[in-house]
Amino acid sequence: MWKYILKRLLMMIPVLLGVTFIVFFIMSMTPGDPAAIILGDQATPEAIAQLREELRLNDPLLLRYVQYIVDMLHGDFGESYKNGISVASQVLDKFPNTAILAIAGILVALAIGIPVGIISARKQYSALDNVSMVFSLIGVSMPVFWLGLLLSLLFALKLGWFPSQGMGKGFLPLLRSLVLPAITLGTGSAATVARMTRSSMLEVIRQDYISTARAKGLAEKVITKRHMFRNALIPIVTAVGLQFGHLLGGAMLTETVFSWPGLGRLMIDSLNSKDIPMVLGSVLFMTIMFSFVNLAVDIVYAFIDPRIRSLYKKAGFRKRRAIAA
Amino acid sequence: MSEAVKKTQRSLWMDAWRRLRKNRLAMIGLGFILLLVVLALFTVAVDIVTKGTFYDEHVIKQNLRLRLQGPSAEHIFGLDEFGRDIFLRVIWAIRYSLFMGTVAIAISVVIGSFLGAIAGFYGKVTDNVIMRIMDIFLAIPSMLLALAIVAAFGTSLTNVLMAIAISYVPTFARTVRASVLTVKDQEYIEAARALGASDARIIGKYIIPNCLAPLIVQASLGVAGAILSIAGLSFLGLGIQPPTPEWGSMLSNARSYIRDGWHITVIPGLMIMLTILSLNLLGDGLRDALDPRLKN
Repeated sequence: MWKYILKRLLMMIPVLLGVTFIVFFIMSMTPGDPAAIILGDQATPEAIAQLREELRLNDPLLLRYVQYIVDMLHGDFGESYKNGISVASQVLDKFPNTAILAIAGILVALAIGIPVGIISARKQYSALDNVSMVFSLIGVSMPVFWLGLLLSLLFALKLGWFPSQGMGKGFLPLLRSLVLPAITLGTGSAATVARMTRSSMLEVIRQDYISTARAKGLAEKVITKRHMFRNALIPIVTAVGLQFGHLLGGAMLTETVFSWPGLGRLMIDSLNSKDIPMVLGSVLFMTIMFSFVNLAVDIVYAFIDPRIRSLYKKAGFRKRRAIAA
Repeated sequence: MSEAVKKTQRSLWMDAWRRLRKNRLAMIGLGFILLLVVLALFTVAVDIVTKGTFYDEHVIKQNLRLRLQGPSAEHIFGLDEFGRDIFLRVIWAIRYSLFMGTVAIAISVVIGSFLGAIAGFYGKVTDNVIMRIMDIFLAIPSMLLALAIVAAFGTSLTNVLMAIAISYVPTFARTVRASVLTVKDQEYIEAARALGASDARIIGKYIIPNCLAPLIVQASLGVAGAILSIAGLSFLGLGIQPPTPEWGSMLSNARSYIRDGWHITVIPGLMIMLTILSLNLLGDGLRDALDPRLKN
């Protein structure tokens, strides 16, 4: 198991190097001289030239990239052009807020998606199934920022139940301010999870071992929980893992709608002020997070599926490959 | 013999169409998309005939005296924060969402299938190099990639288009590669090679047509995703810029006036949702029609 995790971690290195290169390359195409942007309109050409030298902007792109990677490995993502504060500290400062939002979003998705999916599958083609599938189709099709606007229009401005902007301080205010953003972010994923759960359950429901379980007189509840849901779980976990990427994109939009002080907001603000090191740093940070979540999903597979677990426990590398192929 | 082959080929697509026609939800989706296409073409025609004067006069020109007026018989969707008719703006905006979404996906289908076909067909080093590069692109969440591209190159229509197109290339490369791998060892490919067909001919004539079904399904769902991304970028102020009417940027402006009138928030979003819903229904229907085995 540890060997597998280590192998996956090593495999992440070239991917992340490639990601940094692509993002670095794209961001270096930004028009305008960063030195001139930092110093403002009043700067003399000499001052700009000096700053360019200091920022190593005259070096070739590849050299700057290598330097960036070396700095990055030391935890140094450069300084913001706007306020000179280190990118790493600003990103780490905002990251917990986005993490809270994303985790709340996933919880909403699971809390709605899985029960709805299970019930729909158990009562396939019933009115309940049809209604929930129509709603999940609508949920998948809803732009996240529109849902956010509608929710804040109804529950914040009309009814005044929840705040429409910002993040509350202290536990209860935080929870209250989290409700609308979390529902906004989680609804689309809830719909996807519900659809996935339903189809995955339907595949399991027709298996022989379900008939066996029924024949030996197990209660329907036990069958659903132990025999159906457990076996249907793998595609569901995959779907949830994939949703995380969508959630990161959705978080930017949700944070914008609700003025949530997270990474997405930080990124958009930096984009608008052409603060390249900030954008670069936050995009990379989010991508690294995304990669780790994907890795975590793969590890979770091994925990929920004894077949995969035993694959990595007993079999040697060669045999594992043969089975995987 | 060639005639017989042609016949079965045609009936495959006819079969799929027959199955699709029976799917009521998919037909509703198709109907709505066709309606949008007709409306979009109509607005383009109006622009050409009036040389843009109707557009300037009714879609762009502000009339602050009437701002935020609710729906009425004269303006069925009401007026926006600058007193412009929301119905007209929503209709004029179709072309950006629908055509840009379609063009972006068309570009990534072409690039993605090219890369995927080569990777799957040649295998080994070629496959490894192409697919590892695709893995890198897949590792960046698509919205972030699109944002970075637009941020670096500026918020023009072409840049938004390219940003979305690039972020979808890996999806199509993977889809095509997977189906090339299942097709390439079939006997009819061997037969073509025995007859002396070149690689390009084998790929273009025998492999790609056999990979079309998953590609079409993926593309129809991709267009939905692309439209959502365009609207999202515009909502963040990084896509299509005002005063050009676009659903996402209309919503972005509506945000400041959300207290003053529900219609300016509800209507553009509803258009996005109905469009995406229709494309999803059509995509699901196409999947069932083209590959009945997938239907549960």
